[in-house]
Amino acid sequence: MKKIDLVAMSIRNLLRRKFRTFLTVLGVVIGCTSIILMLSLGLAMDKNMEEQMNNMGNVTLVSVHCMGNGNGELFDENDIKEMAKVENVECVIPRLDIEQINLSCGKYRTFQSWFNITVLSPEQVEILGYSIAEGRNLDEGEEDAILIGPEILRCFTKNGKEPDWSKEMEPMPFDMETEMLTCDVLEYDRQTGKPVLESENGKFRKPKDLKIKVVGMLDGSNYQEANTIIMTRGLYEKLKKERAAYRKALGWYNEEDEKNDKKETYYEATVKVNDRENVTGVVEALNNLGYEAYSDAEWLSEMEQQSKSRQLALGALGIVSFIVAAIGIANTMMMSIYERTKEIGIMKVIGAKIKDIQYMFLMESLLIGFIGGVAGALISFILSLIMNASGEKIAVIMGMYGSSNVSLMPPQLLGAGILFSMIIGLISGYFPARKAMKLSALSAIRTE
Amino acid sequence: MAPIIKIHELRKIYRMGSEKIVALNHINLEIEKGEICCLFGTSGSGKSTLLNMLAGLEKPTKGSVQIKKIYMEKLSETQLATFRQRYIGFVFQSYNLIPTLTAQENVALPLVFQGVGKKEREKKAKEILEAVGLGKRLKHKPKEMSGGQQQRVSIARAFVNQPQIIFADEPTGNLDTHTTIEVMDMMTQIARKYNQTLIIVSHDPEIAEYADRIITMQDGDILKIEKNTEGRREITYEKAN
Repeated sequence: MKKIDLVAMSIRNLLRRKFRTFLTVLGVVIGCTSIILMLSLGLAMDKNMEEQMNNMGNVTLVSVHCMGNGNGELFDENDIKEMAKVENVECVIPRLDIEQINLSCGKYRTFQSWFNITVLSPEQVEILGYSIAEGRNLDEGEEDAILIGPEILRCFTKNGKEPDWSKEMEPMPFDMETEMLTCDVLEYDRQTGKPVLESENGKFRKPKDLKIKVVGMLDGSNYQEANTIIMTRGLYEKLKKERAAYRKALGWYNEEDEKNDKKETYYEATVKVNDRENVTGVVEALNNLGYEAYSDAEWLSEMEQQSKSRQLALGALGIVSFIVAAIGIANTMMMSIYERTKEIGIMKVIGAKIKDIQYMFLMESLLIGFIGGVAGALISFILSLIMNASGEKIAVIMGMYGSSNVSLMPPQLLGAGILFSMIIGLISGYFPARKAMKLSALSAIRTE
Repeated sequence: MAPIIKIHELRKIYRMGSEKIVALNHINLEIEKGEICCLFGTSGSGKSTLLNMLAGLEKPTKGSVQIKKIYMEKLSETQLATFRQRYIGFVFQSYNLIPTLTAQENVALPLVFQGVGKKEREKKAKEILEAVGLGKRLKHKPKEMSGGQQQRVSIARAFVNQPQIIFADEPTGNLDTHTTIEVMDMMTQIARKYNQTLIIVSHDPEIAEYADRIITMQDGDILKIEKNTEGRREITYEKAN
């Protein structure tokens, strides 16, 4: 029997009972649509997760704080060494901080000083995975250069002006190739916008400004990174010394400050873990050592788990409707075989091979699956468009805040849906087809 | 000339619960190529069982059926299907046409299973339908035709592939006298023209007249075999009592 005859005969048989075929196909359409939609929601969730993950920064980083309780001691060299010994830790980077730092450029000056300053060697910049969107990395020991995130440029206002808090700050126009930043560590008078250069002991001279250049612009896609200033140890030491000198001049410098300056201490350190898998283990180990460790990965894995179970529930829904569709196909095929028993007998007697009979019925159920799959894919595609258009409400229901799309429908998903429907058609047609195949020609022909 | 069909010690026993029913009891028979044979007998005589066995629709309990030197009982389902495609045509009492197909499609159906292309199929079906006088009914469905016409379609279907053996199971059982004569004439004419072997099962003495040999059966045994030459009957075998 030729394939084309097989297909033609199956189509003819399906058309013989249009309404029943339609109903069976409808079952498949519903099954296919629901599974595609469920998967598309799942995919969108995954995508949403991924987006959030990217916003959150490097998930292999664990931040460690010194315990606020107890003696409240800050970390010192020994602590850093101890942390570095923990298994799967690649390196430990203590966080160094400066109380006050101001940047200015021409008429612009920063209106705040709580930058996320990170002191890193060029090597560490790479280890921590900072991506430099423009320019280059720092050089070893470079004391007049920094890397900044693009958001830093939004921290500038024209000299002495308060920022307009009601709207988002415009980034300062800045050309890192030609312009330099001026850096100082002074306190400014909020009213006049002039630096405070007066102590109980009288006026003193303004310390010399530092000219620094921005050698590289960090990639801004991750919030944390976008707000970071990276500098070398050399520059940091220089600024710190200046700040100490300024504080002395102001008369703010006390013994404790001196002690702290001599013995290096940190209140925070970043631990880089070699692999995402090991983050939880490292966090636990650090907590056991008495540090307060925290990682975004923990929150993330929790989120992931939640999303997984949600996806699982959705998938189960889709599968249930597919099972119902499969039962529908099997039922239709069985009915069809009972009705056509005599016909099957005749065909066998006039030379149809048992395989021909089996293929004929399999082809019918395959066609039901195929038609249902194509229609289902089409409908779910349209539904997906509608859902994305009326997006947000559904997104909130699904617990996907701020997600761009509630339903993602790559062509592979549609293809897979059609393929899956066809497979379901084949599977549910298999046993009826076997039954047809095994009918005794003689008794089949005798049925009226 | 070697016989085209050779039946040796054929036995068929049906089990109905604990009871055994002997449908065929040690049948020995040879049928020549080109012969028209009538299996004659009342219902329950075993003639239909014998026909089913010859066509490979049922397996014998014992003994063998050889067609063209091939042992039918040893063939698998698929081999049997191929064998039927090649050598055997069927005509049934109740026509057994497929109601959704037209006359032409019904006749072409055996060729579909043989993988014959559409054009050739349709041409052959048309030719044979014209030969049985249904040239104007090609596109008619079985329900739109009379019994005689339906039986002619069924005959056309049996002959479309020019098989060497045609089995006809009570081919005129549902037809009136006039149509019976028409149908029988037609079948025997075609069979003789192409030197085909025709085996007719019937309980109608009128039908038996068309045969070269009449094999009368009773209770699973061959009662007698008569040779029929232009109306004169000559008994060649009779069961010893």
